[in-house]
Amino acid sequence: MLFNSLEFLLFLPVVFAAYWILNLWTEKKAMLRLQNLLLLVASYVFYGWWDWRFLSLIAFSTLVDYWVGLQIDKANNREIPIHANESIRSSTAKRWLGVSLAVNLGLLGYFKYANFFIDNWVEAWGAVGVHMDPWSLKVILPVGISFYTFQTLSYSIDIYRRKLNPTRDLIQFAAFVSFFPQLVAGPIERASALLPQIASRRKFEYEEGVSGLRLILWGMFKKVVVADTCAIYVNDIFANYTEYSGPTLMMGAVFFSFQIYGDFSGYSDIAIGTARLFGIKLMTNFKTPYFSRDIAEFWRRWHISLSTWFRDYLYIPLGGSKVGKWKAVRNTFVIFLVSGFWHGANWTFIAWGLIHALMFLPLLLSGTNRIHLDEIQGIPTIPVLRNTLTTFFAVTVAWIFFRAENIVDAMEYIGHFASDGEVRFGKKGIILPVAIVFLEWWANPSATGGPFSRLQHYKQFIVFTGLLVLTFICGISYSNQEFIYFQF
Amino acid sequence: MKCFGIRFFVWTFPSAFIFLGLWLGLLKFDESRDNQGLNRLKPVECNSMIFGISRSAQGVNPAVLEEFAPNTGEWLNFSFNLSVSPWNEAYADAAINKVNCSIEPSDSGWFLIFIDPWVLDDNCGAGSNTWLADEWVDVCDVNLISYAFNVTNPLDVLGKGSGDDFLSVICSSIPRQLLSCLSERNFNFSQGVLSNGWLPNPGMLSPQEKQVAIAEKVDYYRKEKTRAPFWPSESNSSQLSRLIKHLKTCFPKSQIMLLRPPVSSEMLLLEQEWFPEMTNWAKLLAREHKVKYTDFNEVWKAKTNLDFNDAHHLSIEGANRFSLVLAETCLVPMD
Repeated sequence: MLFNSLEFLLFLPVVFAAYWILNLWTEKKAMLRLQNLLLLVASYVFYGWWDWRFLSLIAFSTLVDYWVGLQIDKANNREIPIHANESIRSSTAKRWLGVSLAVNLGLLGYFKYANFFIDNWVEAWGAVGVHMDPWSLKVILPVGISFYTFQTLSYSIDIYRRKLNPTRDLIQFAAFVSFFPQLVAGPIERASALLPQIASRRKFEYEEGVSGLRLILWGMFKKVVVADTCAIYVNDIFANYTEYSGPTLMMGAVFFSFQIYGDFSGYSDIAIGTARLFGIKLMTNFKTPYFSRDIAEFWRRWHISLSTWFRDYLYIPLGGSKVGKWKAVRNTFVIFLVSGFWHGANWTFIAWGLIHALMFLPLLLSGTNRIHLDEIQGIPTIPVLRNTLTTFFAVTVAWIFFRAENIVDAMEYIGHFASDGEVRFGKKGIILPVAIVFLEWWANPSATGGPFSRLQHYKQFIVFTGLLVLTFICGISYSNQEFIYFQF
Repeated sequence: MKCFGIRFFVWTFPSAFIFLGLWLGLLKFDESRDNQGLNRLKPVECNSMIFGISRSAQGVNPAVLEEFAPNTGEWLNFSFNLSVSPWNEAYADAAINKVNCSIEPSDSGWFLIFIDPWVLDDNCGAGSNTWLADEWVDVCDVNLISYAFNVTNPLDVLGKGSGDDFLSVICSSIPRQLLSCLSERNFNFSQGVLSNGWLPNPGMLSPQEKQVAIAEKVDYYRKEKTRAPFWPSESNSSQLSRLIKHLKTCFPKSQIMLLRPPVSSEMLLLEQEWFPEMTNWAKLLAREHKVKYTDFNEVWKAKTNLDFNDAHHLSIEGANRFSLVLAETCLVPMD
């Protein structure tokens, strides 16, 4: 089910009403279970609307990690002889963690990467003159598999690290894995943050509900008005890049930057807002990333739930930046390449990760990767503006690899930047980015009360009425465009 | 929770009203916003009707016919486009229902039926995309809301049928409309169906641009369209015959004509190459039903490519000129 669909418009109020009606009796433990069961059923309906067959995959992943979590905990807590080596205990827990990793990464590998590896294997042999029959598995990529797989993995790893106690309530755990607002495109929530909220009684708070609605509207606006409008230009320009002039291609890349931002951050905002309606707080996933002053800051503001996941479960275990210069460089490349590959089984995503690693490297080596931890206050100075624009254009060039069909297309697209010709979409091409940046700055979506919450009431009313009218107009006219990040 | 619910409704209902008001209001009260055919589905009382596809929808201005021959009464152009109104069952049903509810059987009106080779070809005129067959459609009195939600979209209504995206509607279409209102200048961007069913084709192309548009369209037809193995399609031609029979039976005083619309010289060459049997077949059909057949590619001698905005769609000026030729040629009492 898409957030920007009529089905969801009907689904949400029904689940919302049923959920809070049940909450009237959740003082009793059984009723809390019933409320979680409702969340679980709603989440499965939400996901099954797309393809019910893949519900079995989520259910399987849920059962495996539920059981593995209990086994790891058992191994962690089992009594061992007083003088025995502690490693006896940890080796059993490690084996169970291995099961979780093998199952989750195995599913991800099969559904997402099997064809990629087969194709590349055949091509590699072909390059040295050994011709093999190209064959591919006819595998459909289940929506959101990368997201819920990482979420369940974090559960097992946190129990292994003794940072989390496993839940013994299967319904609770299943509701955590499949919580519908963030099931298919994040934010990738940690068990330590989300499970306790699902395990305890929720209370409807007026301010939270209002800020949730604000976020939903702001997210819808970014998706339906900004991203879907940009998509029209982007699809045209990227499909026919050989026919357009350099300035038009640059414009196309800028449009894609705003398309992917509007699309993905819009989804996150809707997810966070929807969760708030159910009394559950999800982590912030975007903090105005295009206002970043360098690449390091960009990665602290873009897809925060994924970058912190990789930081906590990959970068730091590898030693992070505190293991000597060369190992830190290695770790940086690992994390960016894996991050790129996480997005999709295509060399373009790996190239995209590599570009970001290369842009990050000078900051790491000069020790300046953490100099912009503060927020930009007030009107930016010229140097700040220069740094922000430079970062934005660097990110935009990298997006070309992300969007292109293959690396050759991406290189050719950039190669055509130098070609002369008229600039298409003249005024519109300027108006769109300027309008979005202004709105983003004005909305201040990361404020506690949600976007535009600092405006006076009557101004808020005017702004929201305008946003809602525009969202209705574009939502119906463009009719249910899918979110880009569903493919990941 | 109660406060939350009240605030939700207070904050969302005005937007919903503004949105629906804009969309439905413009569609209802500004006829030039309707580029699909709402005006053709509204209840109407008339005496004569035109049937066909976009060639006749854009090419025949009923007002010219009414002015030339007032005795023919009120006219309605009930033509749509190739995806909606080829001679499939849905269109034949719609046409029969429309004449039944709009014209008195005792009237002595005119029925001009436009045919061309494409509408009789299975590959082009199967009508599988037609919304005329949908359940919500009532050709005699359509429901505005269901029409709006099923056939149009708000951006198209706001942008006057430009088919533009949000940005283009905001940046160019609406400012041009406002400027047009303020300065009373006619930008000629309106593509709406008028209340008499005519869909003016407002493109303002230079002669060179017209020639390019013609070449591109013919090229597109050559590359993208194919001819079905059997022509004319049995089902399409039987639906056409069904309509003619119905008109002859139920409106005995009326005059029925089969007409082939004019096209640019390049398109005509393509049609002659792909469908050489068209003329003979049309003449046979006319003879079978005892109606007159006229090919306006032969009759309209003054026709030039400048009358067209592409290979087969007449511009506003071209349509007015053709409508006059049509009136002079056809609208004389027949024995």
